[in-house]
Amino acid sequence: MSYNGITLAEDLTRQTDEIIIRLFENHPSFQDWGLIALGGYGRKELCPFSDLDLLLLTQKATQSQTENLLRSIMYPLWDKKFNVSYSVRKIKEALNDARKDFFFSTSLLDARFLCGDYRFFKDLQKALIKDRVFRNKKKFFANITLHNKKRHAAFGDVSYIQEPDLKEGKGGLRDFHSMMWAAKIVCKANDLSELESAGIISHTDHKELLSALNFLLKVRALLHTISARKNDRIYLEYQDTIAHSLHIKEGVLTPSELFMRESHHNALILKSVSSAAITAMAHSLGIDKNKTNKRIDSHFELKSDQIIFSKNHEIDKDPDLILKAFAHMATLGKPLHPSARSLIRDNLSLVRIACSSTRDVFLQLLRAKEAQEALTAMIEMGVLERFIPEFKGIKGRTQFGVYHTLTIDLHSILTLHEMKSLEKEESETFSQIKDKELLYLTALLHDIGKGGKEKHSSHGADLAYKIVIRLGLSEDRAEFIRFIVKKHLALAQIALTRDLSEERVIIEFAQMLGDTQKLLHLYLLTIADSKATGPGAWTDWKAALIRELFRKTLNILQKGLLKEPGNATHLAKKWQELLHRVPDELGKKFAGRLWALPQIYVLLIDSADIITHLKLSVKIRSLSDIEIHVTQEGDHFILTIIAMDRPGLFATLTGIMAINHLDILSAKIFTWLDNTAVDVFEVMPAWKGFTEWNKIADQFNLISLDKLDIDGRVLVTKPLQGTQRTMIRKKHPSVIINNERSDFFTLIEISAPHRIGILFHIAKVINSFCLNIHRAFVSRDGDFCDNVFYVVDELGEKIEDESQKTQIIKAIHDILAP
Amino acid sequence: MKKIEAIIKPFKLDEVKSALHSIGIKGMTITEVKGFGRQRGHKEIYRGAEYEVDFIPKIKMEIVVESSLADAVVDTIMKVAKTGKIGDGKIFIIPLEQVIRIRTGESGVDAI
Repeated sequence: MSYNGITLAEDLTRQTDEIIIRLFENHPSFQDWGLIALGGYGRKELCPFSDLDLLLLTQKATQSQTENLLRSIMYPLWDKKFNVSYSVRKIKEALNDARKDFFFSTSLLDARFLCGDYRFFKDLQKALIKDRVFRNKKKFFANITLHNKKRHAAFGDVSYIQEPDLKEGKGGLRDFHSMMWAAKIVCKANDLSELESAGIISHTDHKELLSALNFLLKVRALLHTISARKNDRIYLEYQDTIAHSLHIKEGVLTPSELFMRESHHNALILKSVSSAAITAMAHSLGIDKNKTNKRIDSHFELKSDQIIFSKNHEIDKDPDLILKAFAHMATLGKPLHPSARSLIRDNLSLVRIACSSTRDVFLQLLRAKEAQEALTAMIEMGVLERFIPEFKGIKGRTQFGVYHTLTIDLHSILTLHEMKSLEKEESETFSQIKDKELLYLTALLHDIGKGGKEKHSSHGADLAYKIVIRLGLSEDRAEFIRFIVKKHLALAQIALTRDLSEERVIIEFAQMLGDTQKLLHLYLLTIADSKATGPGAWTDWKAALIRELFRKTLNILQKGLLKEPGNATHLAKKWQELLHRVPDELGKKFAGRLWALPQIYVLLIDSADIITHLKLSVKIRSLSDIEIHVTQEGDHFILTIIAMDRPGLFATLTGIMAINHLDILSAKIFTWLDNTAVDVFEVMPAWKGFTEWNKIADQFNLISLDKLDIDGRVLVTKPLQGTQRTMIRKKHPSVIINNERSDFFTLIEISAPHRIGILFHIAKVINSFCLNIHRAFVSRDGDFCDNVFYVVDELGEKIEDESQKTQIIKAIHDILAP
Repeated sequence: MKKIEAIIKPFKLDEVKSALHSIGIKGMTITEVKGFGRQRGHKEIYRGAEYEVDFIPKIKMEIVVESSLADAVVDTIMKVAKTGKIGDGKIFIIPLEQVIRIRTGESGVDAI
């Protein structure tokens, strides 16, 4: 679409000229002065509410004559609400001021005669050309580049930012102005046509620049009108109105998104063409020191420290050289020479879609230190969207979110850049990444799905998969990328919305990932993505939560439940089976209770047994309920006891076993998330044909009614004759408190010689410290038993207090002593 | 009028927000804060390196209401933000002298 911003500004300038000239020529002795328009007014670039900068040149008029003149011009202008500022100078004074003030000198470069005595203007022009301010071209040029640099740093880049400053930002109108100031001084070119004749810009550049100016000036005029003041920043609140005034119709994107896309695109043109022109002028001034070309390889050279093609015609035969130019840019950290830029821009149709023959060059580019610079140039010149057409979908798209301040294509590149910085900042994690190329590819492609109507992460995952398959990556690597892109928001989302002190939350997340590499990738991508999103998006606060989820998940994957590589798949299969069998065999209402089963329990217990436990658990309604299930296996029995969890339950049960001479060979103790305790004991009765299992429930009831002193009974229970074995091995008992194994429980690991009632005594000690046994594993190896108790204190926290740890260890050692 | 300040666990924010909304609370201020009370910081060990985590991320909510509504707000936060575990947070209730809406100059209950 073409706009008429230039004509619009010229029309407004002409109307303003007419008003001012009429006022001025009404004054009887106006020929004693020369009235000059400076700056934007001089350039005929007026917008509503723009400043009018006037210079009144005179030689002999007295102060009172001048005051008289000003009264008759300025007052009426001010009354008409023009923002006029003026100065009265003699030519000599003007020159003096120009020497002192760089900005005044540039506004003189845009000077335009309005009315009065023309000789004043002519003399000023003549004097200016001769004056040392402009004769020292190198110094003037250096000033321009210095001020550009400062301005860009202060205002940011119009082609990325969500609320860009149309005038002062990088890619804003000021870039065009300063290019033209330099053009006037360096190559005596007064307009774009002359600049083209001087060979500084190409014909394409010229045309594109004009269309960009037409757009930007049109928008600026609208912006001033809408804000009802001189305002050059396109604030979010104005974007909709401007889009409608420009008659932009809704498409896949909203009108304001399309408008911003167009703004970014035009700013990009202004930015690239003006910076290339500045470089070219620097070269023509001989400012750069490298006079001779340096060879890079058989196809490329460095000319004045910029990359050029050795033989331009080679790209016809080998179009992949275009990509190589950018790869050199990334590796060497040098810009493309303007001649290389125009060669590429004139031959864009040669750029081929990414394929396996370009894979290595592209991956080399991604790995290189300055990949960000090269990819940005590829976007600016339209190369990236031809190489990876999917980028067309997200190019120049502003995201209407609170956090995103950059357009998405640049955001993707910045994410890649941030990812590279993580090599140092998160070196511990980074060094564990096995395939770094995947890290860079996901950084670049993670948002590729934005802009469609579907959920961007799933859509993007499929696009990313297709892109890397086309690039010739293996199926495995492509699937990995698909997974990471699809889940790239998961880590942050879970960290902020789920309770990270719940073991279940962490295990579910770990299970979804399945392996450590995926977690490491996701963690680094989350950080890089947030940092690239904007300064507000990555805070210590958010980092702390994300780090907690990352670290806990890593522990589950590396030390915990999912350490064994097969466990994740095994667990997934078990759940599938349960979800299928439970409603079938027990009825639908049981399916609703599956949430209560902890992952470790599901992993370790047979599905058939789980179904039995679920069935039995329905009868447990109060603290006095108990369900006992016995099956025989060879000469020993599997005794499953289900009851509501409470402090001391494990002690009570092991006490009952002890007084009945049931020898515990192993035990697995679980607490379901609904507080049901499921304890599975493997026991050996003291004599064959033991059948008095009912006694267990009876004694349990007596104990809960306080009618049976279990402590006293265990103490008087002596081993039956012939069952006491002599110690074969001499081994000292050991008690270790382990806080590193789990983020949710303290593990008390006890290894001790077996004796009757030993588990009862240990459990009593643990209770005496007000610790809750949440899970336990007991196994017998000959005459030694190994026990691991998963405990938390009454507040649900791990035991962190060192003195308490010491006391616990001592107390357990005391009862282990024979 | 009362100002109610609540420190809650971050993952409870959405739930508390919508619960307050459903009892008619329309405005609140949310800040991401860090601190500790009984739930102390802890040491994190990651690949041999130790990280001291002194302050734990929390959300601070500030709600200003007419005095008669204060109890309802407090009850709602208590009910929804509770997990029963350590670190669930605290609620502070502060008497409020004056509220002024900057745009209109309205003051008192009208400005809430």
